Amino acid sequence: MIVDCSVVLAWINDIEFRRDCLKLREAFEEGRISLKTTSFVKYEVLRRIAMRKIPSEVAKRLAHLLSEYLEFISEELDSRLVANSVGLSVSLGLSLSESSCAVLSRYRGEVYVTANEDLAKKLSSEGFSIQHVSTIF
Amino acid sequence: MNEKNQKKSVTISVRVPAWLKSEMEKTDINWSEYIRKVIEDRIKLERAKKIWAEIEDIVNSEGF
Repeated sequence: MIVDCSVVLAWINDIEFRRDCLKLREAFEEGRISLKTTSFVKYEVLRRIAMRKIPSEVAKRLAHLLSEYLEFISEELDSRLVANSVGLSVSLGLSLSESSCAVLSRYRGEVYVTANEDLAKKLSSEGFSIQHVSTIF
Repeated sequence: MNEKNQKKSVTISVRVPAWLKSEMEKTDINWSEYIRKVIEDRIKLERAKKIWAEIEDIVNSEGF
């Protein structure tokens, strides 16, 4: 499964579908499922942390730990996949972190899981293998 | 972990039932490689869990 920023952010924020997103992380940590994401998602998550109004030492520590954790699951895309991500981003009006997940999902033949309902509908109508996180368990 | 320890390999033994060993021998699988990979993946997961426990401490104490 490929997870995007909406899923990762729900792991640390009390937002909609958090429970479903946490179940996904727990299943990964128990070795029941495999999770992957892209380095673009990692940087997007870190960008959101940098925007938070929290003490800088806390932000640094959190960024360090999140970066280390996401290192276990994130994949660096090669130039061809990066180009495809940018192309998809432009044609469908997605963020680069979202389009990179869609591209990785298609390349790896794995389902893309998101907590963003609109995105799930949009990419599904474009023929991508995508599921909303609430439908996984 | 220093570089010398990373390169050094040691032997570990695993006891399995005789019937299982017999089944293993019927395949072309490199069991040593397979078991090494399974252990590596499990170790990664355990490290990930520890890191997440630290992340949760921060998230809970900062009231995210």
